[in-house]
Amino acid sequence: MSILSAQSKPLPPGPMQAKVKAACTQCHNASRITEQHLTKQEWSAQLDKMAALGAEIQDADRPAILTYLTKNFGPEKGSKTAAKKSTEETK
Amino acid sequence: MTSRRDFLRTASAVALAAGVARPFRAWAADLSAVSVPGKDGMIVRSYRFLDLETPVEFMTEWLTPVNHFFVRNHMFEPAKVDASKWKLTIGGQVEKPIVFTLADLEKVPVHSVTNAMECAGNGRTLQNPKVPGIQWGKGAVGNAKFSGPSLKVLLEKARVKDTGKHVMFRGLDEVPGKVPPFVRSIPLEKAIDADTLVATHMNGAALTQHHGFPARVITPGWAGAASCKWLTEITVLDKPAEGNFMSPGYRMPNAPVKPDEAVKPEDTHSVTGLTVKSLIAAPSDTAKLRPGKQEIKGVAWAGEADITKVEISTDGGSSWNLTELGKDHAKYAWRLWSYAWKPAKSGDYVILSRATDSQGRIQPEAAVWNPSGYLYNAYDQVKVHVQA
Repeated sequence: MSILSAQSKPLPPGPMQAKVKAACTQCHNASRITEQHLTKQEWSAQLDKMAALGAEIQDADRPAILTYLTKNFGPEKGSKTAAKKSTEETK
Repeated sequence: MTSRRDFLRTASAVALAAGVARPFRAWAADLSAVSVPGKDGMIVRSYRFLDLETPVEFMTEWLTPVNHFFVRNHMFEPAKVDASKWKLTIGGQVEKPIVFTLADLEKVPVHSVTNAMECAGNGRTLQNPKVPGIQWGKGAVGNAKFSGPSLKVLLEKARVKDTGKHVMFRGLDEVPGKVPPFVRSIPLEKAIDADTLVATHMNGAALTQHHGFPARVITPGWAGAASCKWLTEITVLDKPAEGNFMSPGYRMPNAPVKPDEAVKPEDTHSVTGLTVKSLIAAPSDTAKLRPGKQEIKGVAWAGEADITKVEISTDGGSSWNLTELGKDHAKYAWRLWSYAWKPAKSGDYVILSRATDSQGRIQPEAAVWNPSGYLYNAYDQVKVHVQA
């Protein structure tokens, strides 16, 4: 992901856009999120890690935030992880 | 969309073709957002907190100029520190807690260490599968001469108790919200190595703001996270420091793991010394070269070990050739290397580099994947096209 495009790629609209921005961008640019392509499990681990690092994520918001992140920044099509997940899901 | 990598490649190729010495200076000048005081032509990996990477093409000098030295911050940099009011305390498991001013430090004998400092996450973007974290390319590494008192001398003044086993550092970084402070510790054994410094100078000049003015720790040969900037507090502990930057941060699995595999904390260890690694500074990746003699050159380092050889392959790894190592060398420093290459014919070439060190470690063809993407050190690689 380029810096130029990272800078120009905002958090996409969605019910959790504002809360993700508030919780996450206190410590880093939105590009740290928008440049990632993670599975739901990996996003969940990131939320835990960031909560431990001081991110304020309300328990009530966590599931919706996880859905927002996974929906918008899921694994890239054709990536090893995506292919693997896809194979697993069809088993 | 043109990616930055492509943009850089294009910029490099254009600059090489035009014979421009510093291609990125002009490029940076066109983007006011990239302008960072005290820095020149750097790749911005993050604005908040500021993380700047050195283009690998800059790595042709023994000492990295300060304006080209990478920057890694975990927090906001402190507002400009007033050197006349700055204090460094040593406490914890010591007989005599002590406070130093900058003037006090200046009375302590100066020791210098030339250290190749590398961020633990350097090369993270090359990990496959990808891992979260700052997506460093190749350039979160630099080589500089750091000077200041040995930490050992300061600890001796405070007289470490027998119970003191680890030494924790805290800087003046400004912590946002509920974020825990960036505190980490190193074992006493490393802290009292004469080469571990409380450095006040870098390449002969006072430290700059980005690099920890007025004083920082230098834990030579170790990942950069062990070299706390804007140092203000040293605490001797009876056990390793706690907190997220000690665990789970900066830890690696003891044995290779698969990407989906859960890793128990007890099966991990702290990132300490750097691995053996080389980078190709020239030619640039995707460069178009004219036939005839070429100089392939770059840098290699090995943390606490010494580089013994760097080899180059110009046929994708089928055969390897010894490079000539630069005359400048020092414990913990990187080593310049170069290789005179005359391509036999026009065409595409994959150039690989691999380093070997005094501990017998050899830069591997593939790096050991780990969940945080630390210490990536696979063969470096550039692809070039030779055309008459």
